[in-house]
Amino acid sequence: MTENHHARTFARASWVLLAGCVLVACAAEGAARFVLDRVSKIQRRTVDEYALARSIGTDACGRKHVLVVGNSLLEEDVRFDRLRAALADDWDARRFVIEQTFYYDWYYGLKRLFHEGARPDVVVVMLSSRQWIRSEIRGDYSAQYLMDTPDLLDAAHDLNLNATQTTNLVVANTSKFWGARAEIRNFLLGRMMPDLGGLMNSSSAVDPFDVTAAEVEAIAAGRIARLNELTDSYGARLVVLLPVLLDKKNNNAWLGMLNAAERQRVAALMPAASGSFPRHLYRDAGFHLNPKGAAQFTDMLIPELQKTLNSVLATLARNVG
Amino acid sequence: MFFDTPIYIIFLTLVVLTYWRLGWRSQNHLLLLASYVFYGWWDPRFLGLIAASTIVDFYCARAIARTDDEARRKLLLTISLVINFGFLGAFKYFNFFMDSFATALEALGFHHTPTAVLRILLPPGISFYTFQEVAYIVDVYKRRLKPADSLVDYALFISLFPHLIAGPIQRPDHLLPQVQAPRRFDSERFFNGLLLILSGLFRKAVIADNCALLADAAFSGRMGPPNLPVVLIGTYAFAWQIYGDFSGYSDIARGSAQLLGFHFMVNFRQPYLATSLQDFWRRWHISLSTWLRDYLYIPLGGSRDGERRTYRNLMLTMLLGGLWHGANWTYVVWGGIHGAGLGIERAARRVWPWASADTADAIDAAPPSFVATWAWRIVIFHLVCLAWIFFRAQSLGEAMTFLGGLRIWTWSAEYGLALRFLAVFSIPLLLLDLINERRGDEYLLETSWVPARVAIGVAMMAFVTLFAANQLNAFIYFRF
Repeated sequence: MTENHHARTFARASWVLLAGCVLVACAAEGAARFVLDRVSKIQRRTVDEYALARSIGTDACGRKHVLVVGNSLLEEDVRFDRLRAALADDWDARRFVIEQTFYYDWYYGLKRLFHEGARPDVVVVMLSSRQWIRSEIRGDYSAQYLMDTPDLLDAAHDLNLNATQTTNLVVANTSKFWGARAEIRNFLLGRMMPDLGGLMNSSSAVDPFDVTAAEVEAIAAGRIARLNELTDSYGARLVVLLPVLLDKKNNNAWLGMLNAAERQRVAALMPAASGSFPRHLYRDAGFHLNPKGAAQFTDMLIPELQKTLNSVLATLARNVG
Repeated sequence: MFFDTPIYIIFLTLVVLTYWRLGWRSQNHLLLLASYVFYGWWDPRFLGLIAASTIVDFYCARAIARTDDEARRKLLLTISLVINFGFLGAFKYFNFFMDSFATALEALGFHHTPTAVLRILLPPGISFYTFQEVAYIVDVYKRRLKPADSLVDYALFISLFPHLIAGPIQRPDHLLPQVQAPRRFDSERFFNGLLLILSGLFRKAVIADNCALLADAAFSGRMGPPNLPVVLIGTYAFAWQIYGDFSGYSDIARGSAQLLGFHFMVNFRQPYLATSLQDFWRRWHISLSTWLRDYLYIPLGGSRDGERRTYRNLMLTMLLGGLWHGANWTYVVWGGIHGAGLGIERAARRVWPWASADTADAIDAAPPSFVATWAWRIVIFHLVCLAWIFFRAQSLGEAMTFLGGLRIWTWSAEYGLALRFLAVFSIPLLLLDLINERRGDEYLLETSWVPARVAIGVAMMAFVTLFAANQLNAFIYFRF
């Protein structure tokens, strides 16, 4: 092989390799855009709920609209079919769940939903006390599914992200593949090892730190005020819904949330205090309720939510009058 | 800027495309600017620190070379070393020594001792570039190296972005001449660079980040209290995580350098196939182990002053090597285990020359059998794993509690699944190592048919795309 031929061979090989890599990246982007939503159950649910949430309040159904948002605590702990049926006479209730989300996910998520046309009368946010005060987001997924492009820099500032993390958010906001790549991997691994979900859940951190009521109140008050300002600017009322957690360690954190909500004159619902449900009503990890626990929690939530929504209706009627 | 992020790919592409259109001096200016942008991307405040230590060392080295007055040369060397290690000590070890001092006073009965309140941010890569600066100044002092004439060249040698944050620690006599001479575009080197980057991404994003999920779960207690299966899963997972992570980083660093026409030394050579601890250190983090050998172990006397001193020097080198990794007693114990292991191995070889499969005499007498080789590999792997427990744990107490789990046997179906998961993500790396070991290649399948290498590169890209574990997950060695 002459030196020239040798150089040409490797130059050609480099081009083919680069082209192959670009092709793989394009195929991944295409799959994320056109295939993932169809084949992944969780993704399909998310996309469907997102579409419903985006269109809430835009149709003339003669009822008021309540949008309930949250993470897996909402998905697992509330029997939403029951809740929706119980409220159906006066309220069109819709749910939007994205797992592993925190306060900032929903601050920016709701901002985007409002910006895209959602007009609920009431927004219920269900997060644990610690999820309210942690300065985190789900990551790239949030950038793709919950954040508006113009909000990315504000989000990066709120989350104290460095330049690398910020540019990652920008890429995730632009590329569906980059935003959903963890889901793609989980989906594929789930196919290869069907029981992997349980193992991965135990492998992911669940609120590892302790907080006091005072710490919660100090941080949550400002966050509730900010979210309330956002919902208010679109004519919606904010309601804070606290889940019933098993851990006794942090079982007065809810007090901080109730105080913070009261300070901001925002309705806060706590159908059951954390630590009040027995262990057998929870799943293995002790974080989410099992179906029996969820049924009990939902039964306790329905009258409280109805009461709160009725008072909202009364206020709205007064305002109209 | 992390190597496994889109911003780095964009940055590297722009640099490479511009670089090869420029003349040699302009290339150096561009690379210096790019390296400072790369470094400042974390926190621009740290640019002043690296610039200051670069300028001090550049002028100290020139002053050392200009004079024959031994006292003055020594003084200049001392000034440079004090400044370099002073920065490292202040930024990396200040809190560690203050906290340890306070703990010691507490233990002696002096309560309510004032503890340090100064919490200092650790500048990325400070351990790496400090060692590179020290190597340069020592080499100039020992007249092994001519000092750089140009500040730009020297600054580029220190800050060239592929090695800046986590090595491989480049020797002045290897990298500086490359900086000082024009680079020629070599398509084979470029191709190998691309493959190295893909191989590094595969090691980091697919192997290391997936193994990290298990290691983190086991060490944090999320897999339940430590017991035999949890300890084994956690330790094996961490062993593959750190290997995939750091060798992945090194591959991307070497690959990026090759796209720019530079050659970096190999940093890992199938370390888990080592048949003795000495062999392990010839294969693991080679740029650090050779640095420690040349600038610490040999200046301490090496093996020249009798057996006792040799053991002392081995132990001191490994303890300081451990401390280099981080300001925590866990790293000191990690170094201590390796130091003790190397000492015992040395002593054993004197008594039983056949005691290790890689003993030169033993190999000459009779090549080790397949079974003996693998038996030693397994033993050494587990010794290394034992030390990894201390390396991974947050404190000595946590490490001992974790190790205590070895006495407890319980089983759950989850452990079986975790082992399968670990196998899926560690066996590919083991297979790659076995292939490389057998062929003795510097690059992946170096002597294979070129189209096959292209196909493997594209396959790696596909694996990285589909199985990259997580969100932004910093390389472990960025902390050091």
